[in-house]
Amino acid sequence: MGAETSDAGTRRLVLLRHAKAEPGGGSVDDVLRPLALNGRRQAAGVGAALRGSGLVPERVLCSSALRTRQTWELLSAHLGDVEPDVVVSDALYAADVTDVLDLVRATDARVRTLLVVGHEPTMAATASHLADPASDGGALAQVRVGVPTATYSVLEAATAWDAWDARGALLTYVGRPG
Amino acid sequence: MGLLDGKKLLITGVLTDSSIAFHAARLAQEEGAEVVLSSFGRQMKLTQAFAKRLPVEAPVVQLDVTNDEDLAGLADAVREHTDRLDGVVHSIGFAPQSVMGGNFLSATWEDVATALQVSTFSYKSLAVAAKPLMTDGGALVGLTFDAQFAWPVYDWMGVAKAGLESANRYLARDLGPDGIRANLVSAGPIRTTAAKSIPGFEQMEDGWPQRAPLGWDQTTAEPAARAVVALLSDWFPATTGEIVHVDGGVHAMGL
Repeated sequence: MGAETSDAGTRRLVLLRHAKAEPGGGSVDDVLRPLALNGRRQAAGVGAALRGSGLVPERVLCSSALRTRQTWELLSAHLGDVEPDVVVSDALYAADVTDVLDLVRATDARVRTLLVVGHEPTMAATASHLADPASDGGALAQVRVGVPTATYSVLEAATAWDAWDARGALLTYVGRPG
Repeated sequence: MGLLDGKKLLITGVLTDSSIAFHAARLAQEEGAEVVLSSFGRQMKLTQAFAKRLPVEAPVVQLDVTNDEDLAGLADAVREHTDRLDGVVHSIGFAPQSVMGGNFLSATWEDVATALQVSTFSYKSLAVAAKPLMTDGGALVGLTFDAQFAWPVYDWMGVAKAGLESANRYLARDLGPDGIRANLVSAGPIRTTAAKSIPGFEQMEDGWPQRAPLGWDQTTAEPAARAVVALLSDWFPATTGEIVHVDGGVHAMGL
């Protein structure tokens, strides 16, 4: 704990909802719903936007559903020549805020930017839970009501990952490219 | 009575809860085994987080298979949690992107050497490091992806797996006299693992369910994990140097 907390510096958490997927229902299992054509474009746009904003992650936690994995694969092609650690997790598919926080807190201290590719309502709810009330009002209002596909929230805190908690991070951006 | 009642196991490679290693750990506990996990570096805390999601939270010991100190200290680290081992699961593989994804001809030795050290030689290193704890014999189980063939995009990882399959036979030879069996599970493609890092891996997955006489579900690691548990049990007492295919039957088909 001591070494962790003394390891100062800003950590940035990017919470991304997967891009637009094909509709559910019918014979396709929900976890196997692929991205829609528009979703594929959105995912590429997210990659370019993250790179443009200096938010290239060193670690990625990705839900094991097909639409989240496809979102990551397509966006990762636009991040440049990097090889982040990618952890594909079943838990993230049906995760609640507590589950996401458990995984965020388990992030290695050397990681400065963490990307989570997950689902609603949990991505927005996690952003809302972590956001300092002094964060940007518009961004706060957005994560309180939930976010559309391919939308990402950026949270920043000068806190070791294992100490991330409610209202402890500044919500600096919510939006989607294009 | 569980299949693994009283067994004490070391399971490497639980980097995520969608992996074969995680499901093997879960099933092994359900079958009565005590499980210790290993992890290292940036993955350590995440392995600890996933260890909490097992039926019984498993302790995690530090082991970087490329680090001689970790290997030398493994037996003592495991002894803090259990007095002996009856089984060890090797679920460790890594290759730089530059040697997979269609880059076979442009790969450099430095990157290939990393793939071979982490994915092939580590099987021997792990076996030797764990051997002092395997006083009553036991089972080593590793994971391969059928290395008889050249696959799309798998490239030098395929070469590393060919080496792993060969190493498995030599481990069977050299550890047999100590009552230690060495076997591999050759699993079909599992999307959650593939999505991690192999560009274009879907080329390999696409035809699999159609070619498999039993069909193939790429979304679950459980069938492969079940085979791992079976090989750790006393129900393969005279099997070593073997590769058990858990691929829906694809390996046996011509077309």
